[in-house]
This record gives sequence, structure tokens and C-alpha cells, in this order.
Amino acid sequence: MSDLYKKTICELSKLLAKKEISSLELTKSYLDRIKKLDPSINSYILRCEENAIKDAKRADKTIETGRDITQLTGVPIALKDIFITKDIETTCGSKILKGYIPPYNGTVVQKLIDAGSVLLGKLNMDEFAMGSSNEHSAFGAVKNPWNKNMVPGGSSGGSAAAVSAGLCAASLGTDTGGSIRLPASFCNIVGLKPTYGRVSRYGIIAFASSLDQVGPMTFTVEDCAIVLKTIAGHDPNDATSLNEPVPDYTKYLKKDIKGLKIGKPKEYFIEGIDPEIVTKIEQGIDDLKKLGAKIIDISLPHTKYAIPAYYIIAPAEASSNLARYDGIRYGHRSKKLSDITELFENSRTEGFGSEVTLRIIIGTYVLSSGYYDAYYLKAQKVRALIRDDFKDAFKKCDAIVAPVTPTPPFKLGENKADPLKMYLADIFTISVNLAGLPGISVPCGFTKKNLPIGMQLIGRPLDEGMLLHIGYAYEQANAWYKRRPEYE
Amino acid sequence: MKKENLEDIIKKVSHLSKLAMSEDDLGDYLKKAKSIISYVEQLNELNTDNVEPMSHAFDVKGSLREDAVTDSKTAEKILKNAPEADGNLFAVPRVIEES
Repeated sequence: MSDLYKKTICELSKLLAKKEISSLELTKSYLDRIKKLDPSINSYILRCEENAIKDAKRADKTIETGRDITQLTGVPIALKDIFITKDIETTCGSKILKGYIPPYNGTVVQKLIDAGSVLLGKLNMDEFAMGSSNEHSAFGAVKNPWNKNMVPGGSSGGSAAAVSAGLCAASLGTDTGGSIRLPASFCNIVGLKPTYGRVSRYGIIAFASSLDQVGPMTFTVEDCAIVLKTIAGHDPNDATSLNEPVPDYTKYLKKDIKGLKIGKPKEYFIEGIDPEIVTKIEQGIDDLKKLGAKIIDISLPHTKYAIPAYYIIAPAEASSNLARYDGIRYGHRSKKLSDITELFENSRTEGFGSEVTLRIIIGTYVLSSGYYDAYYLKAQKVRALIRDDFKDAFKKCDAIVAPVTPTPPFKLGENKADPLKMYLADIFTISVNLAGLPGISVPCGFTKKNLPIGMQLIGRPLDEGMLLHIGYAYEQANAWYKRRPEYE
Repeated sequence: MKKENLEDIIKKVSHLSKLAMSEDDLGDYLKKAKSIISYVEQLNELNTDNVEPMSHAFDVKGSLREDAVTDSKTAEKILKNAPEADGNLFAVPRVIEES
């Protein structure tokens, strides 16, 4: 069967169930593509060929017996290398974890295995998920399949590029300040950051624990709903996971959005945004109107303070989380060590890349005695103001529409030397993490140079269903996902 | 807030966070840290006197679970990841000097 790589989870699961293809055939076709095509994209850090063949054979057996089949049974997926995978090397994009073989599976990984999916490999990412371009990886930058001179976005850049390039049927990423939604928008795929606590973080290498969240990265909104329903739910191993029932998210996929109120925040349509982004988002908003939604002007007055608050809170939490990399229990140990202090210092200095080092320094500074109140406590208070902005806005609307990024995909190297310039790429995604809300990026068109643009929908806590509903309605009317990059 | 020189602060926090900073690197990190710190200081435009700080998205109460014994027969696999191990122990350079 040709063009299997263009098929969605939904289409593949039907072919598998009808036994028109086997998971083994499907898996081998992906493995061949990865081998042949990924060297020019660099989306995989590790290919798990043996493991994938084993998973596929197991899935085929399940399909044969006809019991316990899910829509993911036999479907080949890949994971950002931040997911702890038992007996499979997990690096988090860092030299400091090279060679680390976890002794257990994280909760989400176990759920995906239980659902019968096939793991093709581990995907490239910015080191410890710190970055917006995937250039801060110890395993080299990832290229955008739509234009190899451009970044795929980050930090889940490998995940976005691999799906977009047809090198896996779906992937998972993590989003601390935009790391799912931004690369999804840069690569013409769907990316959802669920409500904080909706998905377990157990077995996800921690960056900023009060902000990190796992989410699906897929071709379509329907696929996104399928993956979310598989991975969501309470987990006793993650004390911050929410003990709330998990709805069948596919039930929200309706074409009718008549009467829904969608807020348009004036602070997200300001000067300085690329005009092509504005045009496409406005067009998207018009389409939502045509589908019956009511657009309401709203204000999120503290928006401009989100990046400064985030760049205190996230590095602070990271500096604490990354203290565990000490060269003793796992990961890189320096050869230059005469005493224990040198062991710590040299192992960490050699193991961490420059962006991670910078954030550890900033984080340690804002938490240090004498500066804590001025920076960290202040940022936590501003975080509350940002959350309250959304609370007020959601009194007037059911969801919020906004751009995902202020620019289309930028050139490799363009922002790498200037961290502040890079941070600004997250200006429209970061507030959502601070407030703990769900947000989705849905493809909404292309620039004149044929680079993808995404539209963001933001929802109330635990209202992923609303985002899937609106996203699905929009996607049915505007099937941008059918366009695929010609990078081969 | 006491005002210290940012270069001294960075030297101090590098030491606290166990990072060995060369003079060359220090210059680069200093430049970047300076621009980030001055950027985040725009938070001072806001009056937050009566705002409760927020450390988490939701008021989740700590949940308790049974203190049950689970499968933890992973000592061997855990130690395999250690750069240096000695039997069932992680090995490090001598920490306490012999007297």
C-alpha cells in the first residue's frame, strides 16, 4: 500500500482492524523511511528498530485475537526524548544523560504500551526542553521539513518535524512555555498542551515542575483526541495530577459551533507581529464566525508581563530540578576529578550546554538569599495576576483565539546567539502555562514562502473538549493538514 | 535589596550551583544574564502589594497513598547507570580525609 506515511491514526487503525495491513508491514515501512529520510531532518536521537518490530508483532497478535484493541493498537509513534523509557536510552537532548538507561517506564509511556502502540524511537529536542528552535540540542539542530534552512520550533522540535515529515504517525511532546504548540505551528501539525495536571508527569524528566505538561502532536484534531484520551488521567505517582474523570474526547468532535463565544484578546494583536501571521489568524477568526461562533473582544491586561515572570519562575524551578545531575548516580562524569567538588563542578560544566547553564545561573540567582523577594516572590504574584486575567475573560467567552507565535518559522542560527530574542518567540504561549490552562495549535495556512502558520485556542481548566470541538470544526472546513512538505 | 555587582553575583551563584566557570565563559554569561535580568525587572512596574503569590496552577491538596511495598528489584539496573559503582554502592572520590 502506498503513501501509508500520509495516513492519520484514525485511518491507520481502520486499515489495521480490517487487516488490510499488518502492524509489522506498517512499522517496517516507517523504519525504512526514517533510515532513508531522517538524516536530512535529524528528528530522531535514537531509532528503536528491534523494539518496534517486537511491539508490532505483539500488536498483530492482539489484532488477531480481537481483544483489547484500541485505536492505537499497532500504530507506530515516537516520543520526545524527555520520556523515561524502560531499557531504552533516554537523554533529554543532553550530553549529561548520554548513555542513561532508565529502569522503569513513565506512566504515559506505560499507557501507550498498554494501548498497543509501537515505539519507533526517541525524538530530538532542545536540551532539557529549554529552547524554542531545537538548536540547543546536544544531538544537533533539527531541520524544518517545510524548508530545511528553517527551524522546526522547540523544544519539541523533533516531535513536530517527525510527524510533519511522515516519520511517525503521531508523537508526544512536553510544553512548559509553548514547547508543543510552537513547533506544531511551525510544522503544520496539531499540538495540544492539556490543563496542568490532566496528564501525569511521572517519568517525564523535570524542567519546571509547576509548568510542565505532556501532550499529543498529531496530523489532525481527531488524532489528538484519540491520543489525549489514552494518556490523560489521575496518577498516584504524580501528586499534582488532577483526580478528575477523563471524558471520551472523541465525543467532542462536532462540526457545529453555533452560538459558542470565542474571545479575541486585544493584547495578542499588537504591533510587531508579522503581518502574514495577522492576516492568517484574522482569516481563521472569520472562518470561525462563518461556522457560527460569536467573536467577543476581550482583554488580558497583564500579557506583556508573562515572559518576564516566566523567565524567573521557570529557571528557578529548573535550577532546583537540575541539581540532581551530579555525575554520581547516572550520566556524565568528568575525568578531571581530584576531589568531590571537582567531580560535581567538572561533570556539570562539561555535561550541560550553554542555554541550560545560563538558566541554572539565573534560577539560582533569583532564589538566592537577598534576591528571593525581589524576583521570585514578585514573579509568583504576577503569575496570579495573569491567571486572574484569564478567569475574568472566561466569564465572557467559552474559549480564546490567538496567534501561536509572532513570526513564521525563522532561519537556523537567526536567534541562537541572543536568548532574549529567542524567548520572545513564546510571547503568545507562555501565559497559558503560567495559568495552567489547556491550549491547542491548529494549522491555519501558509506564508507566501510556503511556511506553516498555526492558530491557538485557549480554554478553561479541564476544558480540552471545547478546544477539540472548535479545532475539529475549523479543520473540517479548512483541511490544511492534507498539505505535506516535499522535502525528500 | 542589597546591590551587588552582577559579575560577583554570577561567580557566587556558579559556585553555589556547582558550575566551574572559565573567564571566557563568564563574559558571555554575564552579558546574557544582564539583558535577562534587566528585562525581567519590568515586573517592578506592577503594584503587587495585595496579591497572593501563586506557586501552582490549582489548589491541589496533597494526596496520600498507601505505603505499600512495590516491585523495586531494580538495584542492579540503577547501579549500571552509575559512572562508578562498588558492589551495591555508588563510588565517589574520598570525601573525608584520613587523620
